[in-house]
Amino acid sequence: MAENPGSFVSPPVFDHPWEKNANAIWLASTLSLHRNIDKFNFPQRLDNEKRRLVAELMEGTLKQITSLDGVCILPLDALHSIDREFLTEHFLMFEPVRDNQHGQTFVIEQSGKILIQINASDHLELHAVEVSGELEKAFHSLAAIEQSVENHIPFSFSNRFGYLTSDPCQSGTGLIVNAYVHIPALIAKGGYHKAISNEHQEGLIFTSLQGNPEDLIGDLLVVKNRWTTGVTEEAILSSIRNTVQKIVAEEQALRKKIQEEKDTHIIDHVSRAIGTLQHSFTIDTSEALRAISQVKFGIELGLVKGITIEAINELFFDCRRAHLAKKINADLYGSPQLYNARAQFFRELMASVELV
Amino acid sequence: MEEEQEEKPQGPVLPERPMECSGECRRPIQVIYTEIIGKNISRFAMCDECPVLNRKLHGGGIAAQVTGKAPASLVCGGCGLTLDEVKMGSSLGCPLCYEIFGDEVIHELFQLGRLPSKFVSQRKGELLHAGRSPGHHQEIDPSLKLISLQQALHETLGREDYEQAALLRDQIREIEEKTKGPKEKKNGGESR
Repeated sequence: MAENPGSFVSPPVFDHPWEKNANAIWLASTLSLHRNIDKFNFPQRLDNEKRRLVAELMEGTLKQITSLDGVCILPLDALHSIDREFLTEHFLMFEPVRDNQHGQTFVIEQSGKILIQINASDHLELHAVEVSGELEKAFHSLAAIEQSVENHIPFSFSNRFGYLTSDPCQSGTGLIVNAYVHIPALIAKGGYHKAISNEHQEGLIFTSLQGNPEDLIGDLLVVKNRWTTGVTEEAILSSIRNTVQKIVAEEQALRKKIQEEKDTHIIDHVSRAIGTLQHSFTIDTSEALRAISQVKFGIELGLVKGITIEAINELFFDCRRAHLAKKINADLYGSPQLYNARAQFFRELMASVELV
Repeated sequence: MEEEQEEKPQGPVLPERPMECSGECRRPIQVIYTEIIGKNISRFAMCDECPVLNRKLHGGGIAAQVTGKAPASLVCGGCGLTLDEVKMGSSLGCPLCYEIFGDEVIHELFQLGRLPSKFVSQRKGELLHAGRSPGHHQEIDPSLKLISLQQALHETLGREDYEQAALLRDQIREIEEKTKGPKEKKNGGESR
């Protein structure tokens, strides 16, 4: 890394929609829309010159779009590893940013809610993050950008398959939606498998941050659409919304029950999680996420005082590698000392947190 | 998670977490496959059903790479992608690939469960696409949220969970009032 980590996002060049979010269960959602320019090979099969052309064309077009509120354009090769990872974390991208391809560019809206990738797996990938359960609104903001681009640049489309993408699993609508739901009660009480086994849910995938549905790190369930082809955009959004709504309702009901029962096992887990965060001297992301989840659960149940839900929700991000390094010391990025620094960060932050 | 990478401060920092199959499968990773050809070592993380893995274990892939000769196969005139590569799970290279390998693509989508079951008995050349087409503006019905809340309410009442039903009813009422009166922006994901 011949670089000076921390030079780009500090001070941040875009806002942080994750701050001041007090969501209890449905923490966030992401939407992405994939498109390719007609008559061009997809980016993996384009030579450098053409990729550069695509980038120029897209950047020029995006700059003219009025629905985008202030953008910064960041060519991937100008970004340090820490910044790339920061963006992956911020936009909850499942796949890390691929290694440098010529002409690969990020365009980020000032709001920090929209990221546009040019020349990644497809020519144009629009990503939106939202924290208020307004899937339709977020979809409209992506569709507005997409349609403005389409007015200038025709996208590759077939009547049989719909919009064409390099990965056929994303063709058709090109729309992928992920909803992030925090379900510690369903997991603790064993209702998780029942909640995700419903005959109406065959079009959905249930997974975790790491892709293993049997190990939900931080009790975070990810609900995503299995199909992008053969269904309408509306059907995708409503199936995600229906299912998430039901899971939220079940989680809420269970939390209420737990609260009334004063379950010793739950109190024990919450108390141990506080202990982990207050007394560790080295801690990895995964262990931190699990503990943060239990502390958040404890606050929701009225068992914990000394920290707000907003602050805890932010920790889901701040405990991760690039966010943490940016926050405390960018030089620690990629170094084993980051584990110790993470533990120290939590010790200080959690000092006054205790059971009620 | 990131442990492996964090211990290596030098060199390019690897992605934090290879969560899903690096092929097209998008399933959780079950197999780490290391391939050594001459001095080149490549490592793949794949799901256990990955066509790439299958190919690598049961011949074709390595031999073809060593000799540099792929067996004769259908080739896309637009980008040079071969049918064998498509079967191995390669990304498609250009729009023409969808015409050349259309039936194979549909077969793969079925194998991976990435097409709704209503298409199981589909005829050759049948249109799959149901979403927006170029030039059409799309408006998603803003009452979607209301409909899904009402569905949830219906189910909750079905299992006689009246407390939960009351919570849902409050949320429905809240939305209905908002749409009637002057609008106020609010956190709409869930009731607090």
